[in-house]
Amino acid sequence: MQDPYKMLGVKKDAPADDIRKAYRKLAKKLHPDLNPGDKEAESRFKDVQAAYAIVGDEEKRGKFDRGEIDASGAERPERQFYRDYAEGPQGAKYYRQEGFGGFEDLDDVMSQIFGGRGAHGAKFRARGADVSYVLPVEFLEAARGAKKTVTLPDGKSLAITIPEGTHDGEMLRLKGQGQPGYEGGEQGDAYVEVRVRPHAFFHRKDNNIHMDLPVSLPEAVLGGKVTVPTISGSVAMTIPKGANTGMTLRLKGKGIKDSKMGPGDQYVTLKVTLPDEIDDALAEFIKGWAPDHAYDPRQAAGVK
Amino acid sequence: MLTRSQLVASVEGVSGERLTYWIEMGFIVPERGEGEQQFADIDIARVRLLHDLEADLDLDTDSIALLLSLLDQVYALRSRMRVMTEAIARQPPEVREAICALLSGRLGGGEDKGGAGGGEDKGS
Repeated sequence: MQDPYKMLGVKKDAPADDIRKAYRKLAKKLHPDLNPGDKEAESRFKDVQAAYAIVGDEEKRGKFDRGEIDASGAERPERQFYRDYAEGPQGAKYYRQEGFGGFEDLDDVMSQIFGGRGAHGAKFRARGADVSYVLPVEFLEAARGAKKTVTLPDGKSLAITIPEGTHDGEMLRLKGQGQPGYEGGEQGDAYVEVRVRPHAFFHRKDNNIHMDLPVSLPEAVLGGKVTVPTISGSVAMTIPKGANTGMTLRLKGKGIKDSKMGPGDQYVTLKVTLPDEIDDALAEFIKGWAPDHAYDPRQAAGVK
Repeated sequence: MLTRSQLVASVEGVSGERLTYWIEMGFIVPERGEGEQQFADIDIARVRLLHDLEADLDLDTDSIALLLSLLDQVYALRSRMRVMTEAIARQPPEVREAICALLSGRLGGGEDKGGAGGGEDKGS
């Protein structure tokens, strides 16, 4: 193990800030995942990391300088880098492809090279390419689960089951629905990225559903029963007497179903809404009522 | 496969909050298990990479997004390239020689794989 200061190219008395800068510079250059084709990068990066683990840490640097630990004192455990997987079968889901055609030019070359070669005996089998699609779904389809049929640009149709509670951006893997293999090789997989469209009034947070519910002045003052939509149909809910804007009521178990965590809840935040037009009767009543019932909601809200 | 909490526990320096953010940004794409999010080996390695990019390389989110986009393109291309070269490697020697002959001198820069050694023009 080399001297950690030399490894980072800094002087023994360099300030911590310089050491950090030197490390960052080397890490940017040497990180194996940023140098997928460079076999050396991994061991050099590990050496630099090990060196920084000593002299980048004030306590360890002191111990090293006093000779209490040697330069190998901070070896890191084995680690699998991203590049170890990125070109394997798992890697496909992160590949950037524009729509379906990102590699069309290369696919042409591939089929020219490998199409119909089987007759000559030089069999080459390869797994078909994975493909990825983006599938927009409605909020309620994702919340409740749905079956969708998608017609692909090549005319093939694909049945896709959207599981209950699918998140926006979630990736569904359809095994064997990708490109056919070469010469009898396995079919690739299809990856479907689900994009959930926003709903007019439901919002999802984890497995809970949130919504604002307008209530009328009489409902707010006197209380009453109202009908509230949930993702699984309407339910009756009791508004307590004196309900106010911002009050949140919980409908237990009316959120997204989750087999492991149990169902989420629906949270209904009340919004007291005055009638569109304030008629004379209401105005007269408030005029009479107000002088003896002064209250300051801004004070209570800390706005003052 | 690891669950969310197992992943956070196994990668030093990465919080659940950070992981959620990366998932929201589309940097990490969890596998769908039954119900709970699951993370494959590649996702775990990618979380480590993201942590390196933030903590060690001091990159901000915009830079990371740009870098990941390029990186994902590089790996997609390398994967395709690998399929091609493996296919070529399985060809009979005369085919490989013919391909090497076509390629020699045309590929700028990259690693020199050496080829079959018989790639020089045999003259016509």
